[in-house]
Formats: sequence, structure tokens, C-alpha cells
Amino acid sequence: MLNHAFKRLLGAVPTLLLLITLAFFLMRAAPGGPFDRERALPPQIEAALQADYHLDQPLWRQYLGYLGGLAHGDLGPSFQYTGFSVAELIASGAPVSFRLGASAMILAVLLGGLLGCLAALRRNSAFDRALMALAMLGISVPNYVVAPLLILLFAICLGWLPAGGWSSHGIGDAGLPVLALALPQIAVIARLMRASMIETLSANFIRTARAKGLPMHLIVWRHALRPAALPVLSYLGPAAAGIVTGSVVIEQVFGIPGIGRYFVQAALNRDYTLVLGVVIFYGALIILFNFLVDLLYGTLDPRMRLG
Amino acid sequence: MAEPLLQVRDLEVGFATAQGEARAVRGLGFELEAGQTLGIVGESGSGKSQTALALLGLQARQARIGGSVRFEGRELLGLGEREWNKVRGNRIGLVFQDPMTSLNPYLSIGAQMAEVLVQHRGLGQAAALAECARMLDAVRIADAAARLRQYPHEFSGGMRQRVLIASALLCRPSLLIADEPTTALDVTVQAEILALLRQLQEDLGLALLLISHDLDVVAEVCERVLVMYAGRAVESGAAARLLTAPRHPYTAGLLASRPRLDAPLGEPLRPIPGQPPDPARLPSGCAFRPRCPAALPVCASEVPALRTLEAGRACACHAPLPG
Repeated sequence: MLNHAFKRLLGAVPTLLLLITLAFFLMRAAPGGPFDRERALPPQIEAALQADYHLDQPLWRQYLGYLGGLAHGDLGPSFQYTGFSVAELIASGAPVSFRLGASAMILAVLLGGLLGCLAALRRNSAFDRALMALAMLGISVPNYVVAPLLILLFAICLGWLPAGGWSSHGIGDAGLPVLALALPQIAVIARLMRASMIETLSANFIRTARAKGLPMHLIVWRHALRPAALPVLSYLGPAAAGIVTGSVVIEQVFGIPGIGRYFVQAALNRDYTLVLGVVIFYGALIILFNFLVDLLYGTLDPRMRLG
Repeated sequence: MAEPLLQVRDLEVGFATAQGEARAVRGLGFELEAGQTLGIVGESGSGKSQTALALLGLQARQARIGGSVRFEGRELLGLGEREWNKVRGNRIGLVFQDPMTSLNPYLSIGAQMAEVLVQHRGLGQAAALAECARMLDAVRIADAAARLRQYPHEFSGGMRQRVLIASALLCRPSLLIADEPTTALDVTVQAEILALLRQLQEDLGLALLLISHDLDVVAEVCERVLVMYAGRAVESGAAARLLTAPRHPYTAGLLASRPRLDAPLGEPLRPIPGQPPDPARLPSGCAFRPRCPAALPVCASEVPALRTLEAGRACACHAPLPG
């Protein structure tokens, strides 16, 4: 088991390396540079800056230099936030982004799972049809549309929740961003859960459970939930990726001081090292999350515990 | 005379289809006394499995059910879910065809067995598990206490069927329904399971309703046999008599179509020509008429009633074979 886990982690190294390489060269292929301004800098200052950040070296040397730093855990200095290293900036934004993302993930799994189960149990009822129509809408409407609509409804018309901002302990100001971030995932998980619950309930072992005289709620809870949750579990990897990309937009819309905001700013400013740092951070996070999901799979299905 | 343990009258199971209603079971009736054994035989689609499901109220949600099922002096059809659940697994045990998929792969055997006793007897987990171990002993699974901690994938097909039989008997039901219990198993295991069923039936004084497509399986275990065709009973009687002297042409056809080891080598099998009818488009009169070698003009116009030919022997045919 441990051996298998170690191999899986080792397999993530080439993936991460490919990701870094692509991000590095794509970022450099974008026109403009970190020190381009509306008013051109004097050539001497420009040259000094370039030399300071090794931008005067050939691209392949910069690449190897970056990898060398990375091997020592050094993500380099930020080009825009003078005096801050990329690691410091990520460390300052990560707790906020993590709280936002984790809350959205938990909300999506619980609410999506619950709604999917209810729809499966009341299959083809009005509730089921309405929910699935809503889910279709939730999947197809992008979050940069959903977020302003939520602000309009809950913050401006109803005045229940603040429209933006972030405090380190409040629940209220997290409500709208978490909801906006979780909605598409709730929709996908509800649809997945419904389909897999319907399939599980038609299994022979469910018929056996019914022939034992167990009440339906016990059959769903004890016999059907675990097998029906497995497809949802496999979706959690992609869901994490969706929440990460979603948070980039959501943090921007709600003015939340997380990593996502740095990412957008850094891309616009050609802050090469900060963009790369965030890409590596997100990439590693998603790889790690997929790995944890794999481990969970083994604990849920007794047939996967061997080997 | 006291009421029999199980009394089925005019049982109907139908499904709405695009071609009209498909009648899977049509006016089926039979009785089963406590401690007796009855086999129901028929081809796939004859309605025998639908009958088993209907006896426990487990038919598909869209099915239409009619008639009467009296069990232990009480009408079962029309019971609410809560009342049904007091019968299922408690007074009537049910064992299904496919032991490979009838156990939950995600739960240990102990958890799946004990829940029956927790539900119906209100036992605690430890007491329930002890009782489960005793029942596994009774179905001859060695090292029962350790086996309870294992998962279905650690059991062979025959072992799984023993587990399912044991779970069905945990609450000491007065009736056990076994729907094709040996069909998915290989022949040697099949014989063991049949012997086990017969022995448990005698030891526990169970009434046993054994459903099978295989006349030999039924003959091995049951005192009486009922032959079903297209949702109706076509013949019933003592197993020994029915197998040696069939009165209905369908029963005779089934017997003649069995492969025999003592037949000369190279002799072709003798199947019944034609196909069972589509339950949504049954022929007029006797449903077996299009395949019957002895059909008369009256067979097309009148549905033959199930008539008693001699004591304990009934047949639904206008021209029964000589006894």
C-alpha cells in the first residue's frame, strides 16, 4: 500500500515538470515584459533591471536557472512586488484561498450529494425534473455571470450578505463567494450522484436488502450510499481543478485577498516568477488532491484494499 | 379445516407497455401448508420470478398487482411498506438466483447478516453476530466467526449462496422462497445446495417454495410441482406422478426435451417447437396452442380451466393426455 502510494507520488514529478516547462515558455512567448511601462525607461536603468533579474541571459539559461532554484525550493523574487519573494506572496494568500476553496468543496459535496440522492429517490417527479433543469443551468452558466447575479440578489436587493470584502473570521462575507464558487460543482455532483444512485438502487444486492425487510432509508444509508458515492469521489479531482480556476475569477469579483488575485495581476503585469509560482502551487495542489482521492478509494472499496 | 400457511388466489401481475398490458402472471392460484414443499417450474418469462417478487411485495414500481395472497391468516396484498417490512426477511425468507451479485460487495458478511436480526429482533450487534455464526454453522460454513469478518469477494459462488440462505433463515421464517437458487452454480455445488435446502427444510419445519426452470432440480426437493406457462398454472400434482405421467402436453414436452445421459449417442434433443408467447400479445384460447402437437379447434376459442383430474392432480387442457 505505502509502496503503491510512493510510486504514485513519484509519477507526479514528470507531470509537474511538463507543467512548469509549458508555463515558463508560454509566459515568455507573450508579448511585453515585466518592466514595460507607458513611458519607456532610460536604456541604462532598463539594462540594469534586466541584468538584475537575469533577463539578459538566453532563454534556456534562464529556464535551467529557474529549475535550479526550484530544486532548492526557491520560487524566485516577484518582479512587481519589489522586496517580496514569490513564496512569501503565496504564503500570504494561501490561507484565504484555502478557506474559500475548502468551504466551496465541502458545500458542493454535501449539498450536491444530498440533492442528487433526493432526486434519485423521487425519480421522474416534479422535484427531480426541476432540480435537473437547474443543474443543467448551473453547469452551463459561467461563474463570472453567476457571481454578479448573486451579488445583485443577495447583497443589493435583499441586503442579507455583504457584496465583497473578506475578514479572517467572519462567516457572512464568505457566504456569497463560497456559494458562487460551489454552484457549478453542486450542479455536476448532483447530476453524478443522481445517476449513480439510480444505478446502485437497481443492483441485485439492493433487492436482497429489500427482501430482508429493511426500511428504505436504511437501505440507502447502509447499502447504496457508499457504492453510489464512488463516481462522485472520482470527480473530486476535476472538481478541485474547477474550484481553483473558479477562485481566480471569484476572488477578483469579490475583492478577496487570495492567491487567485495575485495570479490575474501577475499575468497582466508579466510578473514571470509570480505566475510560474502560482501555476506550480495550483498544479501541485491538484496532483496532491487526486492522490488523496485515490487513497480514499481504497478505503471505501474493500476489493481495492489488497495488492 | 385450518387455513393453509400460504394461499394464493387469482394472482395477477401486469405491466403497461406500448403494445398494451403485458400480463406476466394471469390468475395464478396455489396453496402451501406449513412444512410442505412446492416447486414452480416454467421457462424464462413464464411469470415464476414475478410470482416470487409479488409474494413479498417487491414487484417493480410500475407493476399492476391483483388477486389475493393470504399468509399466516392475513392478506398481504395492499399492505403498507412498514407492514410489508415486518413480513419480509422475518416471516418469509427469499433467496435469489445470482449469489455473485446479491451480496453487497462493500459490507462484511457479518454486517449484512446481523442487520436482519437487529431490524426484526432488536438484537444488539454482538448478540446478532453470535446468532449469525450459529446460522453459518447450520449451512455448513466452517470457521464461521472468522468468516463473518470477511467480504463477499472472499467467498466462492456456492459459499455466497449458503450465506444468502443463512441470512434468509436468521429470523426463523415459516416460509422460504428460493428463486432459481442453483442456476448460477456449477453442477456439483448445485447438488450440495439442494441437499442443504432439503435438510434445512426438514430440520426447521419450513415451508419451501422452490422456483426453477429445471424439472429435475424441483423433483429432487419438492413433494408437489406446479408447471407454469405464459403466466398461468397449466398442471400441478405430486412430483413423482407429474414427472412420470404428465397430463398436460406442455409438461410432456418439457420432460421430453430434457437431455438424457442414457439416450443413445448422437440422438438429437427434442425441443418444444416455437417460442413462448409475448405476454403483451397472447394468442386466443390456450396460450400453448400454437406450439401444441394435440391442439383441437376448441383450444383456439376457449381458455381451458384448471380442472381437478384426480385427487391432488389438476390440469388446464381441453385434451389432457391419458393418466
